[in-house]
Amino acid sequence: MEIKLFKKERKPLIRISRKANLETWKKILIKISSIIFALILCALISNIIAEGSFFTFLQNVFVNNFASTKRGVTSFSLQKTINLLWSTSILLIITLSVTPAFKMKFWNIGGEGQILMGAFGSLIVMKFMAPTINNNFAVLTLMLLFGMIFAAIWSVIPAIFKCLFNTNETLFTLMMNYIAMAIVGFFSYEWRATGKTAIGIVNEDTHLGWIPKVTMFDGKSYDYVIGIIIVIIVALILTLYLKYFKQGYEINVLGGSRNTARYIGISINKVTIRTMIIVGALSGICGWLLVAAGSHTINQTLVNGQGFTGVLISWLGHFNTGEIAIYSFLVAFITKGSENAASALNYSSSVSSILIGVFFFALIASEFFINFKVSLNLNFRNGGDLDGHN
Amino acid sequence: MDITNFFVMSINLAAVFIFGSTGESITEKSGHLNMGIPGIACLGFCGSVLGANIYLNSGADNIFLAYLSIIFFALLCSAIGGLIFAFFTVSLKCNQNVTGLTLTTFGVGINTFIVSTIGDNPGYSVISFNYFQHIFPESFFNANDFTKLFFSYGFLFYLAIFLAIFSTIFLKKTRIGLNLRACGENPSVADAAGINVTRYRYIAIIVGAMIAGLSGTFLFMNHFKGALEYDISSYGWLAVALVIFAMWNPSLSIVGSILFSLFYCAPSYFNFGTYGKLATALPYLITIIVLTITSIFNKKEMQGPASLGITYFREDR
Repeated sequence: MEIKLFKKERKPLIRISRKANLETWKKILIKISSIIFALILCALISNIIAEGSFFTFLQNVFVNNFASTKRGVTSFSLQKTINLLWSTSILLIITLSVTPAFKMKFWNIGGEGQILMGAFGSLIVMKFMAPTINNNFAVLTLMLLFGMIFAAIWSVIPAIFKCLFNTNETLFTLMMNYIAMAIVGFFSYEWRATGKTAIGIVNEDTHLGWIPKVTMFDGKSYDYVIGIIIVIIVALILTLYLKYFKQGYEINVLGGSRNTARYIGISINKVTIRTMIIVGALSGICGWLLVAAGSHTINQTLVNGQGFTGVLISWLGHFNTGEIAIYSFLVAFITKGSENAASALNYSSSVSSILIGVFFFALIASEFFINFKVSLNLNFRNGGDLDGHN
Repeated sequence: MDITNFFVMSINLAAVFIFGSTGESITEKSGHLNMGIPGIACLGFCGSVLGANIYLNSGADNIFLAYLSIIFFALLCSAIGGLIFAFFTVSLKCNQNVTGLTLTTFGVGINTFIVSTIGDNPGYSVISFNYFQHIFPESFFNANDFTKLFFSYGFLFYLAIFLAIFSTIFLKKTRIGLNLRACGENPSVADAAGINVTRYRYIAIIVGAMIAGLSGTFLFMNHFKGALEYDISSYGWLAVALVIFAMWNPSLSIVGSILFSLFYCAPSYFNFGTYGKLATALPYLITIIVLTITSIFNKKEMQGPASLGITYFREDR
């Protein structure tokens, strides 16, 4: 007779275990399938909002981002492509500007405010100093300098408080966003154009402090081209800095373990403050681009919530410039595409932020499938083990 | 200038922050930092609009049915938001900050879309007029300044105060509250003691989200008096900050909320002239000062749950 010493234990239906290092191609496969899944989900949502718009939505995302239709003929449009690349570059530089902070586990969600202050610094030069300098290159350089200084001041304040009193940096940087918005709101009203309630487009007649247009191969001149090139150069320099320089290495160690950093003689406070100054300077470049190449004006919603999007992209891209660039492109791609779809199908363009949310949720979930293994135990009622032995 | 009216207005608005920070405190006590509270408040707002719209379209004529419909849909929508957050952070073990920020983006988007699609309806302000504004009769609370300060609010305000005090007692004095706090302090020990950490966290996050979602209802039905608003996330962020100020104690958050909303209302009530726009930064500046002060006098009992923000996975030991 069999003697039962232990009560037969029930095994769970779903068992989750950590995966050992996954091969790169499998990771890429999981990512790509989650992106495809997200796009299909977005199209389904569009289908719910406007009946039968599944393929119209996809067409708007995949084709109309690059092409325009005139008299029924769809042809490649350089303007639209440059616009898409410009949105991508702005997202890319916003993301890159918050990345060094995240890499050292400093939760800086104040990108929005830092960029706004950078833009504000640039605008001061553009509005008040440009007429006396009267040289476009000098004005642009001075704008860049002011933007970087303003944004760096904005980003270094939370860092100083973090170092002195260990103040919670997440909320500190967040509150700095709203203060920056209030300051910008105040001055854009104070310096309003005559007969208006806002500052309006600055130097509309002289174009001082405007990044000039570039003539492309089709003979037309386009905005944004220089801006896109600047972002690519900054991205390359930052990648090199983070990867091959001692300072980048120190950031990396600090993010891995503060104690390790302390033991090998890295001054945590010094690295934190230095990195946040760099973060500020990068945000300053972004603010400068938004003013000098983008809108040529300033208002409270200039950054339009992209500071938060940058945080998400930075984390999902694992602080890796290549991945960040791909995700920036995809986010710009979906945002622009859903805006196209919204105007074509006559629904509110705010759908784009829902779809971006869906896209991020899909990507976040894909992290789970990369890090964890899910095993189903269909024999769970009988206490069957996953490994086959009872 | 009547200073009593200013206080009444600010204390009334404090309900938004009380709902938000009470919900977030309960969530954080379980060990999960929900940065999606602003998004959940938006979901609560859009749920309320949905509920009001359903009531108005049904043609029913009973104000209590309207209240039921509004609150039910607000709770439902915010619970769905909480469920999404719980699923991603508890079951899928994703980063809490990132999931929370995504939920905020998502919630603001949903709110903007649904509210702008449904559109305005004069019926909303009719519904908001009654008990959402004042629960006691006007002849009673208008008698003197004292009654005005204490009895001139809508029923959601008193609900907020009740929930905050009840949550404190619940967290500190009951066994379930103790278990919940154990999940936030040290989930692996709680697990070893036989507490179902996953279940506790799910329930805490969803209940917290439902309470936070009521702040959307309050804004819609009381503060905006039935007018539509798209982005209410700034209120939600202040609520998240209040949790630190209140040291994870919902009752204390009542005091903090009133303080915050005094500064929130000051720019619109007092005449700062052209500096009014600058004065809108006041509540945020105060938050920073409060954060700094609490971090300078950092004591053990003033700190949050030990494993706040750290995802628990049973097999990682």
